Amino acid sequence: MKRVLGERRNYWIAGTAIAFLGAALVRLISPEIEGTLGWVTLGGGHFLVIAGLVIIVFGTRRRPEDAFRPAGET
Amino acid sequence: MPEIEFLQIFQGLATLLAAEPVIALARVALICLGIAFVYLGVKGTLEPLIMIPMGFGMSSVNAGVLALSATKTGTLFLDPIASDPAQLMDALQINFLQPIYTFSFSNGLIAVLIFFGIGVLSDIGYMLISPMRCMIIAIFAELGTVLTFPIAVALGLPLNEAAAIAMVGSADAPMVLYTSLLLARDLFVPITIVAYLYLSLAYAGYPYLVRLMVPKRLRGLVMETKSIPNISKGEKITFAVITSTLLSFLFPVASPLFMGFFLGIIIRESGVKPFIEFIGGPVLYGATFFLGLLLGVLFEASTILDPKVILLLILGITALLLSGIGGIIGGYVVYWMSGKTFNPVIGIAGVSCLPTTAKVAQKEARAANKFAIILPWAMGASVSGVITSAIIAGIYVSLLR
Repeated sequence: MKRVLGERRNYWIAGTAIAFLGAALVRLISPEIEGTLGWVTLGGGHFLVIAGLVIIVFGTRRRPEDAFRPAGET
Repeated sequence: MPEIEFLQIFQGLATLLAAEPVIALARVALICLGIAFVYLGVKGTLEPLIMIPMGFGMSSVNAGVLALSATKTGTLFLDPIASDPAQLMDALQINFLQPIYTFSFSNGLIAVLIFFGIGVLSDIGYMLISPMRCMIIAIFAELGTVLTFPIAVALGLPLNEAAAIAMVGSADAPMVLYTSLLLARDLFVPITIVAYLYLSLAYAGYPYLVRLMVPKRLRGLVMETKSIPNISKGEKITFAVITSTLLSFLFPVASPLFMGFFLGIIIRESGVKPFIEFIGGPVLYGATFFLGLLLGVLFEASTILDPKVILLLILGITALLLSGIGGIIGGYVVYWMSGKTFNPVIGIAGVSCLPTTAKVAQKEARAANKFAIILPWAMGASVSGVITSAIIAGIYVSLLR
C-alpha cells in the first residue's frame, strides 16, 4: 500500500472511507427515510462523497522540492 | 423499341420530383450541406474525423431515396424507427448499415467505445497535479449545461428534451449522444448533429471568446512549471478505480460512461501496449467514423422539417457559449484564489471537448507570450470537465428518465 500510494496513504484511506460512507447514505439509507430527514441524508451523502474525493486528492499533493522526483521515493 | 423512361433509370431523381415540394427542397438543401461539410472537413475548417463521413452520409442518403413499393419510398441505408422484432429482422437483412445502428448506436455502445478511447488518450495525472483548481474550473464550465435547461423549459421544451439539449453545453459529443438516447430518443439525431456541428465550430469560435474576455497581459501569464509533481501510476489507477466505483454507486444510469472512461485511463496507466494501441487506434477511430457516418445517414429531410430543430440550434449555441463564458469566469476565480499566478485562459479548457479546448488555451497563451506554457493545467481542467459532465448527465438522467 505504501509503495503504491506513497507517504500520504492516510489521505487515501480516510477519503475512500468517507466517500463510500456518502455513497451508502445516498443509495442505501436515504431511500428508506421519508420527508426532510431523507433529503438531508441524500444531500449529506453527496457532500460526503465529494468531501471524500477532495481528501483523496490531497494525498497526491507534493511539496515543490519533491517535484519531478519519482512518486513514492522519499 | 420500348420508350425509355429516364426517371425510372434515375430513381433518386424520380422520387425527388414526386415528393412534396418542401421535402424535395429539404433533400436538395441537405445534399448541398453534406457536400459543404465534406469540403470544410477536408479543408480543416471543421473537424474532419466527423465531418467527412457525416457530410458524405448526409448527401448520399438524401440522394439515394428509391421506391420501395408502389406507395412507399425509402433508402437501403437504415430504418431508425424499426422496433418490432419481425420488422427489425427484415431491416437487418435489407439495410446495409442497420446492423451497426441496431447493435452499436441505438444502445449507446458507440458512445461508450469513444469514451474508452478518450480514457486511453487522457492522462489523469494532469488533473491530479492541481485537482482543486481543475475541479473549480470544470464546475464553472458547466454553466451552459445548467443554465440552458431552464431556458429550454421556458421556451416550451419538455423537461427531458430540455436536459438533452442542455448537455450540448458539456461540449462532449458522445455524452450528448448517450444522454439524448436515454432522455429524448425522438430528438437524439438532431441534438447529436447540433452537438457535433457546434463542437467543430468551437475550435474556431472559442479563441475569439478568450480574446474578448481575457486581456493580452493575462493571456500571456507565465506559470510556474518547476513545481509540477510527478503522480505515480499507482495513484492514478487507485484514483480512477475509487472515483469510477463511487460515481457508479451514485449515478448507476451513467455507469457505462464512467466505466468506459476510467477503464481507458487504467489501461493507459497499466502500460499494456496492445490494448492501448487497439483502443486508442482502431476502436476510437472506427467508432468515430461510424458515428459520423450514421449521424449523416440519419439526417434525412424529414428530420430537419421538425420545427424543434431551429430551437435546438439556438439552444445548442447558447449552451456552448455559456459554458465557454463560465469556464473563463472559473479561470478568473482561480486566478484570484492563487494570488494572480494562474493563467485565466485555462478556464476555457474546463469545457470538456478533450483535447480541443486545452489546445485552444495553449495556443492563445502562446500567441500572447511565447514563453507561456499552460498545457498541463489545461489538460487537467479538460479531464475534470469530462468527469463533471458525466456527473451532470447522471443527475439529469436519474431525475428525468
